[in-house]
Amino acid sequence: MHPASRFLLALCFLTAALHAEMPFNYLIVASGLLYSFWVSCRSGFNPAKVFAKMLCLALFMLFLIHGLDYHARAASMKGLKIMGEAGLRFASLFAATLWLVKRTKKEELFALMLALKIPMPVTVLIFRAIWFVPHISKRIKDVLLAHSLRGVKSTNFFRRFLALPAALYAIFSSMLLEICDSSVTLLSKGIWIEGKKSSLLTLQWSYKDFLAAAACLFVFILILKGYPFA
Amino acid sequence: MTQPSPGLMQFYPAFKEKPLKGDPFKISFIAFCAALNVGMGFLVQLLKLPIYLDSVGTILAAVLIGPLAGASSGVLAMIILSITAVPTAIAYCGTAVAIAVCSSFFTRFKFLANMGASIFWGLILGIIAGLISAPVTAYVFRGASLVGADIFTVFFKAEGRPLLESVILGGIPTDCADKVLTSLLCYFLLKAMPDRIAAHFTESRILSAKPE
Amino acid sequence: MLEVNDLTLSFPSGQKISLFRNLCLRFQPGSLVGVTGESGSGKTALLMALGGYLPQWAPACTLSGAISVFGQPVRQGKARNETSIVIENPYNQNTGFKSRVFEELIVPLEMRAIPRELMTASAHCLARRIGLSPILHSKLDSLSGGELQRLHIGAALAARPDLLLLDQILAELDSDFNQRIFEILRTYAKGRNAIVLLSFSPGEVEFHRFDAIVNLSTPSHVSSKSFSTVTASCGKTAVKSSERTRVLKIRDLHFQYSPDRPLLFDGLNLDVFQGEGCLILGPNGSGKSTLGKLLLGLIKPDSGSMEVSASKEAPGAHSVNCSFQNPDLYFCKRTVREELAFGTQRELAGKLADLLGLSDHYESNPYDLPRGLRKRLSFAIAASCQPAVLFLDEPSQYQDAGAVSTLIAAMRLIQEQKTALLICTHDRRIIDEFADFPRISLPSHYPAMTKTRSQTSLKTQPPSPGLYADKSDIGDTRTWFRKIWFEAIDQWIDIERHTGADNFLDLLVKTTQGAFRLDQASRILDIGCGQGNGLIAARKRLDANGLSKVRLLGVDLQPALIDYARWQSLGHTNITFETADGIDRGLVGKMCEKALGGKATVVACTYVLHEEPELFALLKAIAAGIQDKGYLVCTLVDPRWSEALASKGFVKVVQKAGLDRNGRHGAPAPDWRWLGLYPITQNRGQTIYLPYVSRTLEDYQKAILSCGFTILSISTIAANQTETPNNPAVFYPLASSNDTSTLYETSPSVLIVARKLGAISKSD
Repeated sequence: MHPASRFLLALCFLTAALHAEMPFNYLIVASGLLYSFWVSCRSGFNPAKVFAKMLCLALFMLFLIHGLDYHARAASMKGLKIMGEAGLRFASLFAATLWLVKRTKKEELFALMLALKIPMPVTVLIFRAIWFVPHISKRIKDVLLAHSLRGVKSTNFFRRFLALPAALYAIFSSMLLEICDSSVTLLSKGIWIEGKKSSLLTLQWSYKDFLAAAACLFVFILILKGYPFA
Repeated sequence: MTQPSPGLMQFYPAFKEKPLKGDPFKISFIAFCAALNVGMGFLVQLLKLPIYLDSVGTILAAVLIGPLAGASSGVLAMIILSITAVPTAIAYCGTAVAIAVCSSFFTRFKFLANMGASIFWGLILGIIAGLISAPVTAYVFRGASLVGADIFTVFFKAEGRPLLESVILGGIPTDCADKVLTSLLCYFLLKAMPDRIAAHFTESRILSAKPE
Repeated sequence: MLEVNDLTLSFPSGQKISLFRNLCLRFQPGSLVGVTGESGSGKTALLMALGGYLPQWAPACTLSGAISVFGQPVRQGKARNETSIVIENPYNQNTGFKSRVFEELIVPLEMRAIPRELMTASAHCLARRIGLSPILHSKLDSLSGGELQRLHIGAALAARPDLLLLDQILAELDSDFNQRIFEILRTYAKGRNAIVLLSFSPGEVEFHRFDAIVNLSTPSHVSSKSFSTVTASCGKTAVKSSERTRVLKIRDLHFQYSPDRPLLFDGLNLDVFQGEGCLILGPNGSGKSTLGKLLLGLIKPDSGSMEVSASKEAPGAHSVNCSFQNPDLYFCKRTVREELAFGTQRELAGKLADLLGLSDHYESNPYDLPRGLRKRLSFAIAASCQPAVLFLDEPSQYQDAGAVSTLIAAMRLIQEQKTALLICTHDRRIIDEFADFPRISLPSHYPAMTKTRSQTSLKTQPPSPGLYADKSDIGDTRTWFRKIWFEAIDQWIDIERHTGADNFLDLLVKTTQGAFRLDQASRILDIGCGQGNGLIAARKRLDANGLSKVRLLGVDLQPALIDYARWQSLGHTNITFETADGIDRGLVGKMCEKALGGKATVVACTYVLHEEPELFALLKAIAAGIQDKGYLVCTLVDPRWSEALASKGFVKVVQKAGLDRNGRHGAPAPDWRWLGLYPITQNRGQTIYLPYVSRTLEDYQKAILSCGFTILSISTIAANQTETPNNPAVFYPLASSNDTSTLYETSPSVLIVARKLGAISKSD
């Protein structure tokens, strides 16, 4: 499937989930959530665990904020309703993002950005940033290890707090020295060459994309018509 | 409008450079700052510290290159955060942009030039950040931000205050503390920055007040 | 040609880094140049300056002087697209766009808008050469440093640059590939006529592997001076066996990252005693660094036991310390002095700092030091914590010979302090020095690599089935000729390119079985000499053999392709150049008569013309110009190429197109001399290429025969016979500059040697 129709489907899901009437929206979001957790991961990056944890945390916080009536020392029905409504927003966003992240490969996104003729600096910026995240996490671990080996203590809160600037200094300086070098290789790999680019992965439209487009159209018409949505 | 004198311009890096054109070092630096924002969360988690410091990169990029750079690194960090951990983070892009623009603007007033100014402007930055993110938290997510200090919101809400008020009351002190720490960290980083790296940024010497 | 005039590079004052001054360099195309000098002497800075990368790399340095590459001046900050660079750290060179090896390899081609089929073909071809085929579809984050570095070298080659800069890449590569990389680079430099610069630490590689060496060393270097006094005092420590206390005990260690990746340790046993050590050897990806991680307890072994017992005498806080491959992780203070005072045994730290040449840099920021010094500083810090076991990951990386000696002295010193050393290294100098240590050789986990190696070796190729095997009259000479080809295969690219006169002279002697001898009265005419490289090479060869009176004349028939400035500059080398405007047979004939006194002995005809009257005219003019004993040598591009290219659909083959004769003094197309095909007309957005040959070989044979020549031999020239016209892997995309169209070069061509039979009438 073309990555563009994947984005369209996610958008369609969000609109449908937020516009539907009372029983339907829960149904849509629940099925979406289940599907996004169930579907196999194509991209090699699966944040399902973190997402599940975060979603539970969000629901718990919402329950604490709204669900309890602290004066009456009991659950409040009105608060629970607000909680449910906000929970839907959280869940639908989590489901859509999880599905997109699990199904879209890095290469597809790159090919899409090339096809859309997005300026190269923007593409580079986004992909470099994504690439940097695991790199930085690894560097953070290494630096903390190196510092602990050379005797930066982290036994109590105050010491851990003092270890923070030292670690950040090492991370920042060492990474920036590497960036000096790597920006040179980026240049030499040709990312700054102006003009046309070719792509190894050619994005093609298939029958799935037509189905997706038709489904989205159907949903949007239903929303405009108002049935069974509000 | 008259042209600002060069003397002022050197204290005011904003709008002088176009970071998205040309220089791959700057692009990489902005990307790095975005990733640093995300990575800081990991660092404080490893050090078991109860802070989040997730705008170090934004402030560094904004101060060293310009507001556009800072804003793009802030927004990018939010996008990355939302695809790796908390999808709702994307709603706080506005806060990131505000932090970038403000901190870039504050360099006019010696932000990060000395410790006192860093603390003062960090405080202001915290108030601004708290004020901007509060309506988003209150109206879009009904109080649960997942990236802020929700437990304070619970506390104030339990006292019987309205939602927006409790979000603001809970958010601003934590944001202030966080931004002050962030500013101090940035100040130390700029001060200790190796010469080879400092040479990439025209502003770094002035900001870190190094002897020429 | 790479020219550097009066290059001076300096960092702003305050940093004690000596860099070069008034450097003048000149390198011919096709040369492999080594750049050496001790740490901080400016090897990397020179490469960055040559590529025009200084503003990105170190904007503070100031540069004066001029650099020009193939006639184009290099401006700092305006990098040429035909320059590629590979830096020494493999881990940060990924673009981040892709997640697999194959796709990352292709990025430079995507950026240059090379069509998809070509990208895959050339990536496979490259991967085979650099031994990446077995891991071509692996994920990038599963690769070791050496494998990543090979990938980046491959990506740099894929862009087909004319200036390839390699900064200290040998440090990451294992010794097996270190040997091969020279073969690959040399073939590339010759084939592409490119200039390859490789920087290395002194003592890392023998000088004879290069065509030229730039040595940036300063004779009075501090560390090399202090070294001699140091080593004398530090003898090898002999510890009696009775005193040995075991500090590390590993039993039956098994480890594997994941079930689909190789089993790294299969029952490893190791004992290390106090004040002794162990060498850990093995190629890239064999698990050396993993052992370090296991020792530090960062990862848990699948099975087996590891015990580290710190002795009571050693005061160190940590039983195991590690000097990482990346030195930058260590530093947390603003000056070297503070670094050395923090958490270490100060007396030992001071001793080590003096020994390792750090005492001059006490007040600088550790991150401002050059790489080699950073590495030594991190070693000094790790060692002066006095651990029971010190794990050293590639300690000699970035170090020159003097520094390696001081490092060895420092290692001996900390051995005396009862620290056991575990040394992971590729470096022969360290392996030889610590020959008394027990060794662990970890096996390579890619057995397929050795297989690939023999496949790509040029000399073991089976002879090719000739293109025209059914021609009985040339059969014998052909088989014999092919034998010569496989003897001379190392130089094949020279011949296959336009001129390579120094080889065709040799070949001519062999082809005529010694009947042909060059004497002082011989004359050589090279038609279609373009740059004149072949003639220059021939001149050198002849001068070296005492044949300085042999006259050389170059003629080029296509004004658009001539490098006039170069011709003029070569006036003093005893080579005459003339231009024939268009294909004027009268003029060629006149030239042969005038310049060579009607006595040309050899005519090398490297252009092959596409229009029948022109071909005949030229051949007849040559026949009229050369004596009875004269020889004609033609190199042709295989006619089948035009078909192959046309069938691929990305090059439009024009059968009949007039040359652009207006551009007589116009600048040549940027890459024309690398092509078997060259641009004729430029339409909007699409360039049409005309192959040299658009007719069959029989046509040429007939033409040559009808002009009074006998054909002595016909041979096909091909680099690697597995790459046939039917196999797309043979297409090499070129780095096109700003041109959005794509340029291709072809590899096989045909060489014809003919001899004039009898006199031919000069009238026509």
